Amino acid sequence: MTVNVRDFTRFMEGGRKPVDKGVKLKGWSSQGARPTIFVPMATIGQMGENGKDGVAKVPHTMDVITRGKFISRVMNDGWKMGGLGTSYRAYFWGVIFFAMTVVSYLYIHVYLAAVFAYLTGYMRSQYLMNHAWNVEWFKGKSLIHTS
Amino acid sequence: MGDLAGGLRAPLDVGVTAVLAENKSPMLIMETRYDYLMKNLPAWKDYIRYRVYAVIAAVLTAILIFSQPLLAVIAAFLTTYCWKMHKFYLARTMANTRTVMLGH
Repeated sequence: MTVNVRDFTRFMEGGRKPVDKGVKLKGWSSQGARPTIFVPMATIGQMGENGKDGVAKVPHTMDVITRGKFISRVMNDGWKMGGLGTSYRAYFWGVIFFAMTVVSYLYIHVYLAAVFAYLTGYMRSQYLMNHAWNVEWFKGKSLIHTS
Repeated sequence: MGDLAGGLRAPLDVGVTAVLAENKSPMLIMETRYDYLMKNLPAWKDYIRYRVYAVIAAVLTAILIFSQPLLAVIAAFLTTYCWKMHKFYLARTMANTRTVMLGH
């Protein structure tokens, strides 16, 4: 429920009930313009407490890391983990394989061109997937940093 | 500065509070991960770029040192310069220890 503080105060003083305006989520841009982080005032876990699997519980809902860790995580270029760096690599190899597709079709054999065409499409999909998860997805995710 | 009567540290406390209150910019800034990444992406690209420049300049130094010593001196200078710039942008991005808090 999203209510103006002034309207809520008037309601508490006997005024009319405030209208719930809600949160407008028309798209990534409107959500990114006003990012929010949910921080509960009371948590069940305690500092240093381990879960059933032996892994330490995180008592806060935010991931508190360094800028270097954040950039390393996002700009990761490994094929299995994925990241924005993987997007760059897939774009590069996609261009290379596309050129090899054309060259092999014109001068070598169409069957070899089919192999390079498959690799071109695979790199295109890798580029799209990594761009979606590491660029578009983060447009609505909040981050707090020191000034 | 010695303590005041009764062991109070009032001037010191007032000073610290004044610095906090008169700060023109907020201590913490909330924005999206995308915007924060886009701010740091140019530095990350420079970090990659200066490393490439340093390697190229080092290779040029090794090639030119027997044929063109004067040019090799310039190439050696560019090698060290680009390597230090690489380290500088490394410290700004990948090795930076400033705190960020990610929401889910």
